[in-house]
Amino acid sequence: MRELLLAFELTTVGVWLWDSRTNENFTSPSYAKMLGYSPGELAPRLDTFFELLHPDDRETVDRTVTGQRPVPESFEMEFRLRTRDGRWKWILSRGRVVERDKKGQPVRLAGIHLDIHERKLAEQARAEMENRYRTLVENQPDAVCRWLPDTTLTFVSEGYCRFYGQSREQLLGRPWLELVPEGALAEVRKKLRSLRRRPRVVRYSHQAMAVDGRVRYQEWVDCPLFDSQGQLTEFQSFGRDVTGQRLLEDALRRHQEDLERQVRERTAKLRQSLRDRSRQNRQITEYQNQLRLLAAELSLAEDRERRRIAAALHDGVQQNLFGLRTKVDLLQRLLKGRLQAQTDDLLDLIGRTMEDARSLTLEVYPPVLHEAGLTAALEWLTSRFEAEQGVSCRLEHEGAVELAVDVRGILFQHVRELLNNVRKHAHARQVVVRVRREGGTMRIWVLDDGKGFDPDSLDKQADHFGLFSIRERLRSLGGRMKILSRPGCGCQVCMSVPLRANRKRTSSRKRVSGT
Amino acid sequence: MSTRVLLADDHQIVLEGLGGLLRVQDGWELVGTATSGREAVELARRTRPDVVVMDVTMPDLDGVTATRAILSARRSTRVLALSMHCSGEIALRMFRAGARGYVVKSNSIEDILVGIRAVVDGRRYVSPLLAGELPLERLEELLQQESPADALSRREREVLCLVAQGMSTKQIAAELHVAKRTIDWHRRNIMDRVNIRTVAELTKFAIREGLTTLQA
Repeated sequence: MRELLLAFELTTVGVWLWDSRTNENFTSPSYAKMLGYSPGELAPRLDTFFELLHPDDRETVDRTVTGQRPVPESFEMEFRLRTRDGRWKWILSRGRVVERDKKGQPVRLAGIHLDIHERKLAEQARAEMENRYRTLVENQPDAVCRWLPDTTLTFVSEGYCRFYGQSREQLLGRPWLELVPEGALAEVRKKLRSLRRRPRVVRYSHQAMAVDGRVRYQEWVDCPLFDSQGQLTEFQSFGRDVTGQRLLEDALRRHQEDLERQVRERTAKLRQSLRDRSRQNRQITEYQNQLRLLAAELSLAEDRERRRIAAALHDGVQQNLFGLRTKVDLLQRLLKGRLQAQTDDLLDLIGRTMEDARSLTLEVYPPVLHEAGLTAALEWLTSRFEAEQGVSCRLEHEGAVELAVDVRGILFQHVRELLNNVRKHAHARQVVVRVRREGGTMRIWVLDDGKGFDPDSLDKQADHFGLFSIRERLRSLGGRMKILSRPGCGCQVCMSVPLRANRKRTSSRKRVSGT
Repeated sequence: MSTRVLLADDHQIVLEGLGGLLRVQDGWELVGTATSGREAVELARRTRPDVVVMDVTMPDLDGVTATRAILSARRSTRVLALSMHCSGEIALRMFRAGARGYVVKSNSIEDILVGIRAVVDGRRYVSPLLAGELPLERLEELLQQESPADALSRREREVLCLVAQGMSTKQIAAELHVAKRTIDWHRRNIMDRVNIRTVAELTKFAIREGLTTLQA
């Protein structure tokens, strides 16, 4: 027997032989060597084996051999033994009963030990990996499945089952196409056809009917799997419930559409209101123009009326009064002292009436304006102002200026109004009226060294309606008015009109009659 | 020998009053009254007055033109301008036309009588009302300066006066008993002389020069 055992020294297989009668357990040197011991270092007893055995594996040994009654004819088991340096080594043990007593009880058992440590470690690692993978697949909420090209399911993950609310048994072997809701079928079939024709990794999403009957959205990544010959065997799919995302996206899209619609509506409204505004502005501008034309008409009409009244006073009333005066004078002379008091009264009354008529004429339209032109009229006006107000008032000019009769009248009235303002408000010591022709423009300044005012506050003062009126009337002649003044610094008013204003006024008149 | 006076004024009441006054004055004789410039020229030619009291603005023919016409016919006639206008400009125009005095129709009737006496005596006269604006001392000097209207002939002034009154060429031709083409010719000449191109400006010119009334 020992010889036999020695023969195994050449192999890596450890051999043992146990005799129940002596409780001796012979082991080959390879047996000891496998565990890092020298031959003979291990006592040839069965206890030695149990001392080396990993405590967790004791149960395996009991279950396989020592605990069995009757002891099986042959057995195989795996366990760990402690090596000499204290590590554990996986061993495959095969043994059999080699001798029994008369009662059938085993007397001798023999077997071999094979070092399976490397293989065992690899197996364990693989198992652990598998386990990890399985855990990964099973524990993730996403659905994982494998399916044949006809969509028959060959594997479904926990997540897959959960989503559809069906057990693994119910699902496996069924085509998942049955799970796709009617509405999404056509699209999914199309995807499938394309995928079968040209297997590749694709990502797509479709509607799916969830366990609670609600329509949800799934996003799938399908990967084709091939056998060693390159033949398509299966697909593996990862699916995610993207309903939340889709709903969010839908909501976002709806919001965006809503926003865009609102923006469109608002823009349209704005555009409309802008159109309205510009139409109103056009209307206002038109009204303003019409008002201005009316103002122009009014100015011209007023000027015509002034001239007519002045003419009537001058050529009619005053002449008649003069004639009357001569007649009463003659009467007085013929009466030779009789009724002297009465005729004196009469003459006095006529004289005063003549004076009234004369000053009224001057007020309405001084004849000098008509007879001698604007410059002469302004000369008369300024000297009268000086005489009446006791304020130095002089005219600066460069000779007579040709102006249309009506423009001349309007300008004269404006200067008169400005001088009136000076008289009422300015408390000036010196006033200058300056007439100057600059190119095609006629400019008339009224300058005073009075107390001045803030031109910006003019609009609010009813008292200055006159200035506004002058400005508007000038504008209707194509002219302008500029006011330069500051409290305490006198005032400069400049009126300017184009010398060729006739044409413009004629055309504007036509426009008025046309509207 | 009494002084022969001709009155020209388009206001009947003035003629009546002033005429009556002149009649009761010793040594003066009223030889006629005219109500238009042309009538005045005609009457002056017939009655040969010593003094013509001439209103400045009159229909037909204005005082300036009528004065020129009368003086060109009879140099020795004295013309006293009588006007409602208290204006040196207008007075100057009358003086340029040859008038010897200018009286403003005012409260003072005496002023007219004084004026007539002055011009008869061969003196120039200006109403006190106007003396400030037009002092007698400056008159000679001012008369040296030319007025554009002086460049016009008597006929041209006549035509201008009618144009300014708004009459058409045809109407003027009928009024003056001449051919329409003659009036056209006059109008062209007037425009050339005073350098004016439009009827409107011509009218203004006429008004300014006192050739027409305000109502024109």
